[in-house]
Amino acid sequence: MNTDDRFAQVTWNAGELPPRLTVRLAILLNVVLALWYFSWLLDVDRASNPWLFGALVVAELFNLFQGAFFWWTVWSDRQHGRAAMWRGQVPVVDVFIPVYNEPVDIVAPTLLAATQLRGARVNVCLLDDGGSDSMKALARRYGVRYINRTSRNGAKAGNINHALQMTEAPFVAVFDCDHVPSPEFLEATIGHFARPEVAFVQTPQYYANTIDSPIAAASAAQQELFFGVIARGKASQGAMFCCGTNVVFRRDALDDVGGFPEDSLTEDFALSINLHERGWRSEYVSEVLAVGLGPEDMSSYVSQQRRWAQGCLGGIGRVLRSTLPLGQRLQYLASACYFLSGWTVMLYMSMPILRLLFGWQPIGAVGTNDFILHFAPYFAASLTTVAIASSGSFTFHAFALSSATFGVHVRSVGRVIFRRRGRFVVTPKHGADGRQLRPVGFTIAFGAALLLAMFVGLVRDPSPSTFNNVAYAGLHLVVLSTGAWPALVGRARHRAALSIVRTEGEVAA
Amino acid sequence: MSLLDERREIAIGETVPAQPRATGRRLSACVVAPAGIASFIAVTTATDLAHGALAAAIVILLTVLALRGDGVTSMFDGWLRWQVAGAAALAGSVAGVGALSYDGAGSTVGYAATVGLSWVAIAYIRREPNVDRPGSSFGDIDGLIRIAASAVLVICAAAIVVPSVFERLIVAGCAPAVGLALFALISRRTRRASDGIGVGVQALVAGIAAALLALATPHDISTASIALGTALPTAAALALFKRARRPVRAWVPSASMALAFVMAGAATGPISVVAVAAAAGALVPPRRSATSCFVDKQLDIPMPTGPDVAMRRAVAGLTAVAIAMRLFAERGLWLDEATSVHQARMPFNAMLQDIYKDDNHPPLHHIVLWLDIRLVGDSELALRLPAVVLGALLVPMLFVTGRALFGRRIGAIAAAIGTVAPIAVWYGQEARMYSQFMLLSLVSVHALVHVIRSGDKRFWAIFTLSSVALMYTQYFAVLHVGATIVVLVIEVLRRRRVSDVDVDTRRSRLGRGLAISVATQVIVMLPLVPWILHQAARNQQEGFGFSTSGIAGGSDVVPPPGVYGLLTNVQWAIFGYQNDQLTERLVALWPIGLLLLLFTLGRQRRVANRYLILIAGLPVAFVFGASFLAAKSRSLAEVRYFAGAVPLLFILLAAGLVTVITSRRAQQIVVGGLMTTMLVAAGLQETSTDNPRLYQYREAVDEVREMANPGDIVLYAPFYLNYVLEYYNPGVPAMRASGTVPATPGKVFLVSASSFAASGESDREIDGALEQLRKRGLDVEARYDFAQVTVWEVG
Repeated sequence: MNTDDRFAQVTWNAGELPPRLTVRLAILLNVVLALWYFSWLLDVDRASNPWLFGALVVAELFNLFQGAFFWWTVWSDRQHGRAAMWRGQVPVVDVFIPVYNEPVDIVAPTLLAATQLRGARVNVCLLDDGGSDSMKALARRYGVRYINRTSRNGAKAGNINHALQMTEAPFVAVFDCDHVPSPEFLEATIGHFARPEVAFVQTPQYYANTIDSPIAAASAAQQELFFGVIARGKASQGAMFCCGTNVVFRRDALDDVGGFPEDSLTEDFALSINLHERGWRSEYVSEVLAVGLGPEDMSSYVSQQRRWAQGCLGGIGRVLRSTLPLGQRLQYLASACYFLSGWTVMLYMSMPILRLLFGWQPIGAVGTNDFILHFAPYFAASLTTVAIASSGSFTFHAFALSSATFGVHVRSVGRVIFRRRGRFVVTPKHGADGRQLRPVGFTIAFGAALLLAMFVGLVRDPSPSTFNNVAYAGLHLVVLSTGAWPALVGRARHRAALSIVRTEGEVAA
Repeated sequence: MSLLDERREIAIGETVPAQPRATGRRLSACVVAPAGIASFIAVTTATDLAHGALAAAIVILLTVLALRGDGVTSMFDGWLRWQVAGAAALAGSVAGVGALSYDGAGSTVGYAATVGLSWVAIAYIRREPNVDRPGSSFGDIDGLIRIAASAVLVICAAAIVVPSVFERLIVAGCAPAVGLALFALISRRTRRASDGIGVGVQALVAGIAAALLALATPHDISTASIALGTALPTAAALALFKRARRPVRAWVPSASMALAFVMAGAATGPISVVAVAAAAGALVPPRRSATSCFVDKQLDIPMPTGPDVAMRRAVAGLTAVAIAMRLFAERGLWLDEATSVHQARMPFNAMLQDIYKDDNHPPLHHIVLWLDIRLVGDSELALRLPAVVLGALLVPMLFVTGRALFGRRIGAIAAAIGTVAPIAVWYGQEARMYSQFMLLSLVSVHALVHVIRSGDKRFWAIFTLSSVALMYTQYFAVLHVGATIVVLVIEVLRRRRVSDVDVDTRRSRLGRGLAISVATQVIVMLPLVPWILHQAARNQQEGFGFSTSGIAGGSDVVPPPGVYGLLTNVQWAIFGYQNDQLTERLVALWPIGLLLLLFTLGRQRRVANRYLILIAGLPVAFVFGASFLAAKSRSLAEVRYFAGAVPLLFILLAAGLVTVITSRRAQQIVVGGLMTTMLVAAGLQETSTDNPRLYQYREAVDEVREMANPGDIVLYAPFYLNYVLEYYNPGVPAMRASGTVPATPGKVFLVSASSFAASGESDREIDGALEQLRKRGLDVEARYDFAQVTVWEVG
């Protein structure tokens, strides 16, 4: 029996569209409630501490900016199905699988699946940057081409560029080494290239190891939000960007922009800007056509997020300087700016701490009635819109994991500002079992500060206002601890719990 | 295949053939009959000829019942059990006759003993394994019923010797037996079982309805003959009609008879006809039929599977705890309760006239209280007994409704919450209509679930009856009833989108059922229309209406309608009525609501969830919306006016907890923590004199009575304190403090109330009286402060 999660049935339908009318009504309601809230908030007379009030307004406006782009994207959500069948001569596709010291058992199923792709004549190439003998043996076993290089400049981008020089098929498919494509991957995508202006066709990323790891599960939910409604919306606006795997390129397009940019940590994002800037188009097929593995431990997740954050934030300047049409440029900007959201999380968490420890608060002399009346409907409507638009795929754990790793965004901004060059770190494919406190050190520190503030606040002044801030602090504490929990207890415990559940299930069966 | 396997098979199967029934069931009727007859004759010979006639009628009915079928021959099959049952029945008769020497509650105690002992009899007779009752678990709780009934036996026997000491214990002892029986009745999960309940309940309700009809007729016609003439044919028709296809459990007639004895035993005047009606319900014969365990997923609701004996036992235990918590009410009656008592002490027709003219409520609660006073008496405990029983029944009802909606675990957690929830405890102790409101709302929702699931006619009947009863209980219940109808309409429309022949049929059946139910409700509601119009017009005249400012009382206790007011109500619903400081702090924890919203992200959206939120939310939204828009009106935005939403909130809370917290241990910790907090909150609510709803009228009047001498008088304000003073009786003349204070040789005690009862007018009256007394050279000798009540001693 095959125990690899990637061969289990796919449980997510990337093409499931929520009821359009409901979504649009929710968005309209959201817009009205946002106006209602901000017309109340943006009144300097309400400021208690002007600095905190300013920070709060900036954070809220940033979130509104993110929210508005989400609503805009979602508004044009529509189905992006498979391409029509390719007509004419059977196309030739070079299939690239870049590897760098990943375990053989992870790569082998991908290689095998790549050789079984239908709808084109495929030349599978294993691009080994690690130069390992086991990979060479693996390539030999499956009869695929083994490409190695002497230098490792440009990391994954350099690896692919090197392979591009050594191959010549008109189309190039790229899969991360843990992403097992389904046989119909090319049948579903290659037809889009009938239109000569199409540079690449992207398909969703899907993580199959959600049962094994809560981090993978939460990460998968984040991916489902992006590769579901957001990707469909972006594709409808011609702004879907390449995500580095599960994608097919037209070689001419790559040649036109000089291949993958090697100076970016998110080479796929940068490449997409280059291609769109040159007038090429992108397509998206909203169907799971390859199954991969998500980060299984906190360290892997943080390293993946750090690379994405630094790469995308570093690309903001490039987006602003680009000659892209305004719509596309705003879409890229919104995607890149997402990685600033950790700052707002940090600010929101700091508010109750500052109030409970020092008595500083952004807004003063406002009745509970007044605040809730303006804020709560906006908050509730925003969550409802996300829930409806994503067809319920975005979970609380996904939100909590994202919030608990706010430090990644904060540090990435610093690294980008101070031009600290990041390192391309391959996301580990097998998670560690023990506790991982280091990646959530920042989170633990904030959690401790929240606890301290709650205690001090209640001891010092148990007034209703303190209770209110204690509740806020408690809210943040629950979110942080939920997100960081897998790192605090380790995967071994999760596995033990899982084995009990499985055993019970077997007994029941 | 072992018995266990067989049961499991049946639990998930579709239809199983009927098995031969246990032999003792007819026997139970035979055993209960002599006990009841003995008691009944004892009572009737002590009263008048009319009662004697009724006794004769019942004796004939019971004899017929006892001699029917194989009952007589069965007696010899299990003679040992017959001895046990006979002994119990004899003891019950003795207890009943012995209790005759006591008035009111004492008499009822005797008949409660008969009921309990009847249960002993039934329980001992039915010792066979329930091989013929797959999917049913009545037998599973037989043990508990036996224990409870045995407790009743001991307690009642003791009560006959020392009645005053044991009054509370007796109620505590009897209630579990009755509660368990009712729990067994409502927690069926097989079609056959519900059939049995349905027929029995229908017959019973038909009989009682006929009796009430008789009560409402002019007294020159014999009420007994009307009752007999209506109830018996109704019951007979029901029995004949159901005979062809629907069974009934053997204990239903027995229980009906037991009810008849209680009614008849304590009866004075026309109430005896209720006993006859109940006995008529007993005419419905036991039958045999196939069992059908059905599964339906219309609401995405998991059907309960497998034996849930442990869970049921836990819920039975929770019910017992709920009874105990509600019985230990330390507070005395407050204004509204005293008003209800004043009305319910009147003759029946006079009471109805009084409510029609001077009250703001429909009459069902008062009718229940009227019956209660005549059956049990008018002690504080007796007056609160209906609320206690209905409040305790909320617990098993929460379980079965929660189970029907979301599964067993959530049902049990909802029941646990309902057991200790301060608001449920508070209104489960109050001699007003709110615990009735809560229970009936839940019953209607439970029936609604089954109506949507199976379209079963019996549940349509329960749904319609509970809706009507709700509207006769509290006018605001119309919002709940409206919400349930909205849900049914949505469900009909939802099924339109599904193109399936089966669903199509179900849709049209649902639509038809809804139309009939609504039409029935409207027709049954018609007699209430003149009441509503008259009461509304009077309210308007007196300034209590919706478009006038009305009284200011309570304005500082109930926050104005708005977001803060809504949060305060949510706080009341979860943590009960607390002092202002604590309430403010609990309300300040509202950001927890934001966290709950976040928790909902990515959760499975269930139709049942949406319906429940709709039914609970619509009345609240309407009340708040109306209060908010009609800002001039006195605040109606108060949890008791949408008390029907409270049990639904408990179920939603339980569902939320189980959905969000997946670990079993974490669930136990959180639910345990919540229950502990609620328990503490309930304790604070009951004991804190800072609770603005806690009034110590009893203590205040006791103080006056102790100090007052002949020649002293009591002055009070506001004017509606008269009912409280009437009930607690200060022992000296009492009058309103307005106008000229009468001259008196003794002292004057001034009594005033604050919180809800506070108003400028009453303050002026008290100040004016004090001023007059000072001018006469009298001084305030002492001032006594009780919770929300102040007494001045002027002499």
